[in-house]
Amino acid sequence: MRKLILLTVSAALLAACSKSAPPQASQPDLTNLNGAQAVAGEILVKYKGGASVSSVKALSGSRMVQSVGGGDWGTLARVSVPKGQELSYVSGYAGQAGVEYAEPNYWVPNSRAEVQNLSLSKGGAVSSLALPNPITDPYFTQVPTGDPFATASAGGGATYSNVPFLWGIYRVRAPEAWAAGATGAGVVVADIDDGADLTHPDLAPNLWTNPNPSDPNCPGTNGYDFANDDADPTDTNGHGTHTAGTIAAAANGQGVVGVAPEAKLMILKGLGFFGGTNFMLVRALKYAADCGAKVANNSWGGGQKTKAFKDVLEYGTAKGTTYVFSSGNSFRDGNRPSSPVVYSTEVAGVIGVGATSPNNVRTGFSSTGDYVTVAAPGQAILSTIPQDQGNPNDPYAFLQGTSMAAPHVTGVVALLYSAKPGLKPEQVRVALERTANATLTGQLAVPDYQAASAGWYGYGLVDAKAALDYVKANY
Amino acid sequence: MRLRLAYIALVGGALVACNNNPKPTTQTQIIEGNVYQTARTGGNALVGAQVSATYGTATQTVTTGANGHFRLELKGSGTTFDLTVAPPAGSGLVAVTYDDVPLADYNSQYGAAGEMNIYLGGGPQGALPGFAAKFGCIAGKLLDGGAPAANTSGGRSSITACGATSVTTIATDPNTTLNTGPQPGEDGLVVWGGSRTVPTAADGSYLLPIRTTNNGFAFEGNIWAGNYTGSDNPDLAKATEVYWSKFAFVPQAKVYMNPNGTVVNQPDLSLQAFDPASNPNVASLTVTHDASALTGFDFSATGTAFSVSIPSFESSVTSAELELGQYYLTGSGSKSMRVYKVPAGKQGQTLTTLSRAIKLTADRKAIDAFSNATAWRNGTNATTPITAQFLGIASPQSPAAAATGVATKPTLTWKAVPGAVIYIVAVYNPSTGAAIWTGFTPNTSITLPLGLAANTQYAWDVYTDDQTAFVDYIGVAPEALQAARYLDVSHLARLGGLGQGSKLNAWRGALARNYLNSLGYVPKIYATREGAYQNLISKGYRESNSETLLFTTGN
Repeated sequence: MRKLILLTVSAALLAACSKSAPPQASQPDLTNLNGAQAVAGEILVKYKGGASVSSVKALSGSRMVQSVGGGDWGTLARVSVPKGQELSYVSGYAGQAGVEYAEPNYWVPNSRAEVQNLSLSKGGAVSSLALPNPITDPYFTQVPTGDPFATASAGGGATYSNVPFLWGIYRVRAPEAWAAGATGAGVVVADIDDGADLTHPDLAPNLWTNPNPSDPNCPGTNGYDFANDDADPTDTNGHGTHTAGTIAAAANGQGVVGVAPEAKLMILKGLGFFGGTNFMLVRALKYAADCGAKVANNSWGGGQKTKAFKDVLEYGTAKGTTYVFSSGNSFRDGNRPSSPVVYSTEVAGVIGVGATSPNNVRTGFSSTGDYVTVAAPGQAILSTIPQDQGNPNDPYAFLQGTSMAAPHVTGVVALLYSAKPGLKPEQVRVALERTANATLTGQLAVPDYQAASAGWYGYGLVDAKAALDYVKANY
Repeated sequence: MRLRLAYIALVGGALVACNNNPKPTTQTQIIEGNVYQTARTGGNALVGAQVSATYGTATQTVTTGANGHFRLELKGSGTTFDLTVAPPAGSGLVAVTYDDVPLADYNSQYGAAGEMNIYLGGGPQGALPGFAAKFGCIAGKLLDGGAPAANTSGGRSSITACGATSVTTIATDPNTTLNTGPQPGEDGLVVWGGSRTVPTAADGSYLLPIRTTNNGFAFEGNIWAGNYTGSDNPDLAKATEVYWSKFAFVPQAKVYMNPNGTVVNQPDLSLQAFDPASNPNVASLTVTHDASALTGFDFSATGTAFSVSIPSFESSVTSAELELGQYYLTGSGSKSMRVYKVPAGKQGQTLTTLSRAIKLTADRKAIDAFSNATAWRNGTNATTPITAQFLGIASPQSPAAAATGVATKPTLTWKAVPGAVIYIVAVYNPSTGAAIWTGFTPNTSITLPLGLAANTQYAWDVYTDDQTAFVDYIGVAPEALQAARYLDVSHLARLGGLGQGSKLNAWRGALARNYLNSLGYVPKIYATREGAYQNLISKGYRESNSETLLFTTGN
């Protein structure tokens, strides 16, 4: 019902301002508004979901050029206004009933392109020169006393011995992808979690630096805290510090190394000490897409299926962001589906991830279902924790959960983007599905949604090197 | 419902006087959603539940389909609706009513987003099989000034070998206290991960077993060890301060699993004084109690009410909260609590102080009412004193205590609490303590939409807090909110065994244990997911539960 009303609103606006819109220039004329660069002669107007026809009027001299969104999420319209009068039109629209907000159409320089220019060779292959060779991070090279991760694979006859602490990094074949030139360089990865220890020596070198923190759409230097609505996404729990480390801890000779050790981490605190709200998390999901993240890790979920999540995921994937979600840890508690990961069956750019143990068998708690796109290591995962939580000079710990599996896949996706920056989320999904290793997991069907152990692994164990080869060959 | 009826009556009066007010706009309001069993029992969609809704004067009842979905179309008017979900007969599940739900909350993209998901309580615990068990142990020695720190208080099980048989015995025996946190008066304890507790042997050694059926290979948690024996009176039933006298702390300890048991040896642990006067690792945190909003609480020496603050320490994402002490007051005054000194300016370690004001029944055998105030501190505000300003109680008015001949669809009324937004009302079976119906309402009265049995005794109470709105309760299982209210009375040292006779509290305790067993946690009301709880760590949280009243229905 609300969608119909919204369409009517848009139609009314277009009818009132019936001149055809000129195509938007690839390099628009910029002006300085509120201390930041913005498109001259344009503003953005966000209409609330369900706004009534009578409550929204097009202001004289303005016309809607383009709109995105719809449904409960509302509609974001690009509105043409007279140059030099942007801020007065912002005020005029903001005061109308049915308008959620109006603001300048701020210009965000693409920092990713800048970094890529530094990292890419002329041939388009990513340089791996920035990675130390060999990588000496101790948990990457050292084996725990007693070799406790020595085991045999569930399928394929593989056996493992002399297994380092960071067994998961090896198991997803990240080092082989690095050797092939994909390190995550030039890729911004959003980690939507409970924040991160921004001063952790293994994370600080890889924090994203916001090129325009004064942009009201993308505030914050390294990300944003939606739980407290401020620019300090420092971790108050430790979960987010751990997921961030698995994605992109630096290869710096200390501690651990992430799957994509040259990616940049956009820290989005959508979960507070007590968890996150839809409000916090929807904002974080949208921020990731609006502010330059190519992939967003989401090691969270809840029982409540909410349309708002689907709306924003459709919005974000349409903008080119891939969202990776943990499948949930409730297998033994009834295996109830978690949201938003269930939307992986409806939105191609949403990837659901189950957890496996060092023997490549599903970890006991890992939720199963057709929303599990692929599986990844999720038990005995060593990664960064806040420095005040760790042993002296050793801020690292083992954790387990599908929360630890999703960051492995997020890191792999970052590797793919570093090799092929123009990948679309649906292409990322196809690459992950087509190259996941279903032999190591001993699957009888690929995907396994109709098999006896339905939805344990989806298409199989994620494989960075095979996925990298796939995107290089096909996209 | 009462508020809306009053509003309609007022509008009607205005029409007579002025005759120029517009008629209420009638519109078709769609209310849809899904009904599930609560997560504790598996969270499955519930077929055959009856969903009844009222919007203005329009009412409709539908039955949920195979996927638990329902959809109602109501031609009415107004800004709120009522909705009751009754489970299929014989399912063992419990009905719930949402009274005067704002359409704005139903439509909110940050709330129900036009999809009302409802979780009915009741039913057995759900569980699916795991993998073959694997084991690991942490071994070490606890020393006090170089001498063994042996457990002398007794009462806890221990093992002498990290083998499959012994570990399985201790880990699966519900009568052991392995997974119970330290109790005041115990000494020679070693705690891993905040709750798994073993005693030391005569030579100070310990063997702490971890068992997994989740295909686990490695785990990590903190170690807290020592003597929970400090007090200002050797008779704990008369003590006003109970705390760790000595402790040792290791932030992270790894343990590895295999089918036969792997032992990881820890360096010897040396006890240090848990005293801010002599140890820079220990700090003071002042708490003040203010029970001025509570009526009917007699905190005098001969009264039945008391208040207590319980600080706990959450050191890491790998470990649960660990209790640091119990500090008893009389609804006013202050105490200086001993707490672990968290690093200044850091936010990774948290001190949680739960302050409770508790009123016992006149015979002191059961809890009658309580009010809680929770405050959090980390390195950014660790020394900021805490004031526990207890929230008032929603005192039940009608049916009065021990009322008889009450209608089978009674109207329950209570006194408003300043600052409260939503009241949660429940009717219980007094012989089992189990809830049989729960209602959520912003009003101070509610009429049961479903009939009670005739000539039967029931109990009822009212719960509220200082910040939760309807938008926060939609999608939250009423049963989880009951489990969150459980109070382990036996753990409060000063009560000396009093207050344990409440069947209602015992039922909440059974629910809490069930949640712990099935989901791995005991619910907390403020741990729900919605907007009211932003900035909770700085705002604090307050809640209260009324007295429990009995009534008997008529024919």
